[in-house]
Amino acid sequence: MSEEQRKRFIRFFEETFPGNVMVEERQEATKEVHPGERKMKSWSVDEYVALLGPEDNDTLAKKLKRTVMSVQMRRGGFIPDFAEWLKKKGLSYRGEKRIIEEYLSKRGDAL
Amino acid sequence: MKIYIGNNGNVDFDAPVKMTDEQYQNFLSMVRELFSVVVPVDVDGHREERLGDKIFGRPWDLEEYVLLFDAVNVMKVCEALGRTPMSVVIRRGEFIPDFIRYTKNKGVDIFAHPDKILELVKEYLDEKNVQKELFRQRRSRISRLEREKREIEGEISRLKNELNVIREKEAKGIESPVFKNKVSAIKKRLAELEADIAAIVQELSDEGATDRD
Repeated sequence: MSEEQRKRFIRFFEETFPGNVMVEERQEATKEVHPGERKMKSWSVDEYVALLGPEDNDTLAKKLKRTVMSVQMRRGGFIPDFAEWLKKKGLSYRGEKRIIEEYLSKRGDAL
Repeated sequence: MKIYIGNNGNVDFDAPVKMTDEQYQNFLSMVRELFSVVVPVDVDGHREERLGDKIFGRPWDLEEYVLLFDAVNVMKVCEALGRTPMSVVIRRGEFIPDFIRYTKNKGVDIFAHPDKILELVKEYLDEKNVQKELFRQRRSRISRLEREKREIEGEISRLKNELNVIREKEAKGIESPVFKNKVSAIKKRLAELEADIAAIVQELSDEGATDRD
C-alpha cells in the first residue's frame, strides 16, 4: 500500500473497532540477493525490434543469449511504454528501426 | 487487533479479524476505493504465517491484466493493484508475448494500431475468462469421475474379498445354501460395477484426463 492507502486503511479499522487497534512495524521476509559484480548488458535496437515480436520469452532469450527473466523484464518495462508513446505521438510502428531509435532517444532513460 | 506494517509497504494483521456483516460490507467498500481489483474468496481456514514470517505470493486475477496496458505509469498501476513495481513489470513481460501472438492471429498488429490495444486486451481477457470457466468445469467433472471411480474400486475390492472368504469356506468343506445366493448376488453386482468403471474410464479418457490432472 502507498502511505495514503495505509492511512485510510488504518483509519477505517480505528473507526470500526475504536480503542482496539494497535499498529506494529514489521521487518518483511525477503529473498537473499547476491548482486555480485554483474555488468548490465545494454540492449541494441535490433534486440528491441525482437522484443516487439510474437516469440515467447524462452525462445527469445536463447536467440538473444540473455536470461529469460531479463527478456521478460525488458518487455514488461519497454512495450507498454513504447505503445503509449506511439499512441501519444499518433505514430504507427511497422518494423521501422528509426521509430525505436527516436523512442529510445526520448524515453530510453526510463527503461 | 494488531495491524502489521511491513518495511516494504505491505500490510497484515496478527490474526484474522472477525466482523459483522455490516462491518464486512464497509470493509469491502473501503478496499474497493483503495484498489482497482478486489475479489473476495471464501476460505475454510486461515494462514498461520503472518507478515515477516515468509514471502507471500498472490496469484494474478484476470481483471488485473487490463490495467497492465491501460495505466502505463508503473507506480499508478502498483498503487491500484497493491503490488510492487517488480511484480507488475514481470507480469507485463509474461503477459505481453501471448497477447502479441493473440492479436497477430486476429490479424492486428498492435504497434501499427496502438489505439486498439485496450479494446484487444479486453477481448483477449474475455476469451481467457471463458477458457478459465471451461477449464474449471472440466476439472470439476474429472474430480467427480475420479471420486466415483475410487468409490467403485473400493466396493469391488470389498466384494472380491467377500467372495474369497466364501470360496475359502467352501474349500474347507463348509457348505451353506446361503453361499450360492450370496455368490450369485456378488457376481451380479461385480459385473455392474465393472461396467460402471469401464464407462468412467472412457469418460475420463474423453476428457483427456491424465495423471497430471
